[in-house]
Amino acid sequence: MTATSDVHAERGAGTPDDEVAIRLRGLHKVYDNGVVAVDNLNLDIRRGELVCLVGPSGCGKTTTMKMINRLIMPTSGRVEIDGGDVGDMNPVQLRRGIGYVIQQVGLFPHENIWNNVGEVPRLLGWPRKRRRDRADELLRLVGLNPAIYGDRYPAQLSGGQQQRVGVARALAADPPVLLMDEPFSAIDPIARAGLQREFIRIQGEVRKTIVMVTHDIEEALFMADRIAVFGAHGAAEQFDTPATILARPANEFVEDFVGGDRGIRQLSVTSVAGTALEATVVVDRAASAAEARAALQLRSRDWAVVLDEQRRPVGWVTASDLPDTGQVEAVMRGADGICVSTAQTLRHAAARILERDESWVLVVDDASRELLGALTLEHIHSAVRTPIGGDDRHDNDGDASGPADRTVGARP
Amino acid sequence: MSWWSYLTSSENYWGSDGILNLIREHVAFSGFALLIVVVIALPLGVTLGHFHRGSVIVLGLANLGRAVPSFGVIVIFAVSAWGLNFATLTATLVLFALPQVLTNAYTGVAEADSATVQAARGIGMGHWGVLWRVELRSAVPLIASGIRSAAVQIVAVATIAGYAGAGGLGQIVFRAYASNLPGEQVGGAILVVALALAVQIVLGLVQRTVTPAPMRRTGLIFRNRVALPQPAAA
Repeated sequence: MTATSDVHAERGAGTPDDEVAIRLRGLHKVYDNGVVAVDNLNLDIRRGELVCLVGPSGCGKTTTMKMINRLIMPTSGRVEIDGGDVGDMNPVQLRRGIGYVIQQVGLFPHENIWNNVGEVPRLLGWPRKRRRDRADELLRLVGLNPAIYGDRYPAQLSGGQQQRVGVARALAADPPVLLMDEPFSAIDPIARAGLQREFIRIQGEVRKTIVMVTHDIEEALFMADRIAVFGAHGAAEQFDTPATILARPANEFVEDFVGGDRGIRQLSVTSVAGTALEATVVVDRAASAAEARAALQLRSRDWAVVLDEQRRPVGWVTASDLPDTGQVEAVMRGADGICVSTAQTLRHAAARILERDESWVLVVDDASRELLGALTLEHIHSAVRTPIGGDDRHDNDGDASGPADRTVGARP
Repeated sequence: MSWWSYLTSSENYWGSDGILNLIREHVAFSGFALLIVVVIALPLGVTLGHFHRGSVIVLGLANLGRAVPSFGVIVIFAVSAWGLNFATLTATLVLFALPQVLTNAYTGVAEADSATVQAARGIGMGHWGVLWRVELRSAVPLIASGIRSAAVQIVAVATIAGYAGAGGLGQIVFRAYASNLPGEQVGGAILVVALALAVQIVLGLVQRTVTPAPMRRTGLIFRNRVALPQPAAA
């Protein structure tokens, strides 16, 4: 390998230094029994990103995670956090600055919930009052009322509640990095789905750099910003967004691991924001039927969206609905169930279309509820066939939905 | 004299051969033996348990302790060069009770919930933190149980000291046996049982007090928990 092709030729490398929170370089782990757990792994994990390490058992994903906080020492290679080599750090001090969540939770059975959450702050020498306040704050963040649960013991909580406390404990000292080892695997499927959704909400608030190990590809596709798919021999076969992994699996191994029905499943991980939309004819709610008819004829369309003063859809009309005289508002059809927001996924949009008599839904901005355009199954098809570069499910600023500019207006 | 009148005659309680003095002797050498057992077995068991080392030795000692009949050991000491004196009596009691405490200390620490230990290390606790905050706390019931059974056993076995004329409540039993006084013999045995029960209850209260609240389960008299160490995984 020549000097020019070294680092940047590796998968996952090449992110600018200041965006990288965790950098794995040439990471190699051979156990005493000769088993190669991790083989020359290079990954750059960006600040504030949730990365899932996923793969079959024995693929080295857990070993990789444990090398980040030095629970396992690499045979060779380095782990850097914010540019510092963790090999140079005191492991105990290092771990106090990294949140840690494991599948079996591992709360201290003899301590109440307040003390469990306040354990790392206690190790860091925070005064009692500050520990209690922080524990209260975090219990509320994870959806547990501190007045009810604070003085209980772990055995008095359900598995799902215990893992909420586990997450609160990991966040207690506000570490920039969180390591999670199969955090939701031991929880029953119904509670798990709720916890996964809630964790995404919490991550939206705290914006930690998270490395999460899971064997469950569905969980990874649902939660991750990017996924590292590990092969059988401790190497990352692909490191990319859920949408890209579904659309363009790097090789047969990834394709098999991800499983069938990739097209359908891609809908669940692709947001409405960023999809090309179709311009629609719009009329103001105060417009007359005659004005609306004129607008439709001008554009050769047979339906129009009725907007309020803030350009939010309040209904829609077809050409045949429109009487000779009178106002649009008197004859329009309701807007119930015809809108999806940019925060929703293409799966929601497709389901909505399939449930309707018409072959389109309206897309509105998640925050302002302003109309952006109409979406049809054809748009969904082309969005899935030409995946966008980055997964922006958690990044809905809406400015990618350009077609709104081309919306044909009929404002009296 | 029936055992009832023996136990209810106040003159039997006083004097150097009286019941009260014999109880005091019995408690004294039992307590001394227990102290030695705890000083040796507790640090050793806890250290080995924390590092998950030496389970074979601990297991072997535990089985040896169960297999060797205490009476035989005491006789060996009695006929040995040293004879039965305070030192050899204590050594016998220590040998007899040590495996119990060692095994429970080892097992209690070694088998503290591995997920809790893993989480404790992962959030940044060092060896002392893990040992003190996690392993020892979860080992408290087992360690206390071990000490408690050891104490009861020492009290019971110490009766045999009376056979060699070393005092304690055993003196009543063996003298009565030699003089064919069945009432006093039974009375002495009842006193030993009563003392053993008293030790069991008092130490039970101590155990309950030192056990962290959410882990209190052990009854006062029954349900001593005896640990069987598992051979270490490869």
